Amino acid sequence: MPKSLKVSDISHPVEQLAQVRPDELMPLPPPYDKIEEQPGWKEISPAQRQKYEASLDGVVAVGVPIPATAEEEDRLVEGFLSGLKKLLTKENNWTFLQQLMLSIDHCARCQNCIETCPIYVSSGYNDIYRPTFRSDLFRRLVSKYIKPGGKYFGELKQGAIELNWRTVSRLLELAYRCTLCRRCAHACPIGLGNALITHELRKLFSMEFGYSPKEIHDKGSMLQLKVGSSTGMNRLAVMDNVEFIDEDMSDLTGLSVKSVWDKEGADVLLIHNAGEFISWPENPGAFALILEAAGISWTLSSELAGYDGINYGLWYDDAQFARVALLHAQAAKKLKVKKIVIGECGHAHKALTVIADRILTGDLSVPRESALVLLREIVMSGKLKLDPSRNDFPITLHDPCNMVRLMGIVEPQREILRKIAPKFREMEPHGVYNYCCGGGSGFAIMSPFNFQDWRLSVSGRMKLKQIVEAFADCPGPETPKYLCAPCSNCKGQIRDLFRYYGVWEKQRILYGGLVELIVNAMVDIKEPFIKWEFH
Amino acid sequence: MPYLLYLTAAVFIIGSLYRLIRIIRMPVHLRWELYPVPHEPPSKVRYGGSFMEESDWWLKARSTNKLGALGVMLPEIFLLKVVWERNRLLWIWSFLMHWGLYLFTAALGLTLVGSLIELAGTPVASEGAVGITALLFTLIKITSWAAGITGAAGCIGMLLLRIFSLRMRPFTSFATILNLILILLLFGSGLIAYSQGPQTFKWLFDLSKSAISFKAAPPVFGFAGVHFITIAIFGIYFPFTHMTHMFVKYFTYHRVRWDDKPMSAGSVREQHIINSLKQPVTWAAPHIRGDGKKNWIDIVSAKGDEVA
Repeated sequence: MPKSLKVSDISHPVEQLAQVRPDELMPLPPPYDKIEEQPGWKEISPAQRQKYEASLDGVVAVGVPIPATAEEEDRLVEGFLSGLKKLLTKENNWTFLQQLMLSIDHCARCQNCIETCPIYVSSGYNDIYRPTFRSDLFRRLVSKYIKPGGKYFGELKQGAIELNWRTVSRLLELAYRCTLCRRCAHACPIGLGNALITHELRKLFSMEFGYSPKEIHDKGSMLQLKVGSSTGMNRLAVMDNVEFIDEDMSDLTGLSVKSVWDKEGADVLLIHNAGEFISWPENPGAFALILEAAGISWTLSSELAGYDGINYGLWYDDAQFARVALLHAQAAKKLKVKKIVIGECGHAHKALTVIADRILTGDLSVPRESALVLLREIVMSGKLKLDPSRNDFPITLHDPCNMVRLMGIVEPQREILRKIAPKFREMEPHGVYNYCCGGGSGFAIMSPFNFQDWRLSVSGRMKLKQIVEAFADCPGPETPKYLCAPCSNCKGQIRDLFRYYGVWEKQRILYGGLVELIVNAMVDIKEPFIKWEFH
Repeated sequence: MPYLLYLTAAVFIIGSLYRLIRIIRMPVHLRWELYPVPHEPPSKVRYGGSFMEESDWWLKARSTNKLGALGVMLPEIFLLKVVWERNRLLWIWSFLMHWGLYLFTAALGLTLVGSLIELAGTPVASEGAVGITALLFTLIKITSWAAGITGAAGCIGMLLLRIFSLRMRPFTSFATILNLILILLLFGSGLIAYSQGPQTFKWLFDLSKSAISFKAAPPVFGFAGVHFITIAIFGIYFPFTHMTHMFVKYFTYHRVRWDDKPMSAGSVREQHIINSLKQPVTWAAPHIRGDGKKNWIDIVSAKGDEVA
């Protein structure tokens, strides 16, 4: 196994290109600093290795089958080249062509960006996760196999590369070792970014081959398009579920909570990530309570996908992305609402507000707003009676990349916390320079083979370090602490991180959303809303 | 020699324009902004906030700061701020090399201005030059020397980093080294030529004048001719390299990173998008099945079994 990897090694017929070693990972602060106490790592079995591509780093995210015959190997290479050509045409990729071409042609390869990547740093600077490794590989392939004269000058211009089936299948896996957090783009003096290339690679594999992680495609966007939600809930199931949540909320708070469905002409169509209804029902329950208490005219939609704000296409496939965005806009249009308000879900925010913005033409362009903005309006308006002393425990805030770095929604959540949480403290770094939770771009819902071990040991490592350091003045379990993470995917990743490392037991840090803290501060609620039970 | 100058100018201008036009003519893309966006009001730029923090922002007049971009671009272009913040060793050499190029461009510009002044009848580099025009020629000499010294030092440092740094070497191609060698030749030949004495500057100045006035070029003066040829090679080579980031930066920042303009109904941009949506799709995956006849609208509107 090469000690220092070269980009051209990607095509070499070695059993495994890179290795993640626990003793080389970035050290964690106490009480997670003992390597022998850290959770184990599931190895890919020899039988799995024979069947699926695992030769990149011994981790499997996608599980693409290894070609069985020379013909299959050729088909993989030819399909890749076909997809690569399409990626560079305006007909097939007008959506991102300009960004992509700028990224291909103008990188100075200065490596200024590499230490901004939490995955690269957390891995102990493992070359395979260097954010420029993937981008450079992509540029070399374009230069040699697509550009005119590439056969003769491609390698001189960009560097050596050989395209074979190993290159393709490893590149597919490598496209799922970046969370698309775009932190590296801040460090680029030319204004480029590596995540864009990762995004485009994922699109190539999905849109040309149909290769993508099952959790994102089959059980994700496809399920949402067919049933209405990636949770598998159809409209009846979700309405049933919400009825139970309302009852529980009413019992718990002593206030009448009744969610509204399909109210035509409402001011606000609230779209949650439907995962909240199942995993964190207190979050949509708290939303319903706050909106009712504030006298907001609001509704949920029972239309196909109208009750699930997720849009996984954002991470891997333009067609899937546009299909889901269209359903969201149609649900709002049908109800004639004044605006869509997106619940505590980062990627849903960016998908519907920013990325879908230019494809929602004509009357599909229903205004979209972040729930954090509406919540700030409500909290600052004085419509709710709030007692900050009810939140008198240390609180820190996680900034979801999609909302913050990629949308510039930074202050509303902080204004709320400064008003209702006397012991609020920032993590470092925070705001637009935050670190990803490690579950971005679909990772939080992906756990095939041993990928979960990787995302919790490597991609989530920096976030765990940040969280622990934010509470350095009260580390022990005797002080209950709260990590406010206003994003469903981030919460999923943080939940898994905390379980993996035993954070609840060792430090009593609870994670949850923002609305839960608001309801917890409401004086009309008799019992504390936050129960200090880990789930 | 003037013919080589014409050829260099023509290739440089046409090559650069070709690349610019190719970028400009690319279709309107989806938004891909990254915060902070400097045309937001300063109070928001401070922490990276956006208009989307405002309630019902689409009903309000948007407040922007047109000068905000300068506050980012000027330190970036002239001080290489982002490199300074992340990698001081690289910054030292890169800063020197870039300033060498800036000063070299300034010397070229001053030579051009001086040539025009002298052709208009006021001596600049010839006998009889006094006062401000004589100062102009002195400035050309000082700027050229400064360009040569800083640029050559920067290039040598960059070459050493590219060759010996484990951080950079694996990501250094033949073309990257060639670019640096060419820039080093440009500055190195300049330093040798300048050290021949003031006649070098006079020769380069007269060459510029003869090219502008379509008159016969002065006889080649020693190493100055070699320096001129390196200038020509660099000028012809430049548009075909990633060094065009000099002007492409405008697009990477203004048209991508800071392009946060929301769609407005009935706009020209909306019409561009509608046209793009009507383009045929050939993506082959089972859930798309682009056959070259179906367009994006057909693909996106597909329902039920049409989406495999």
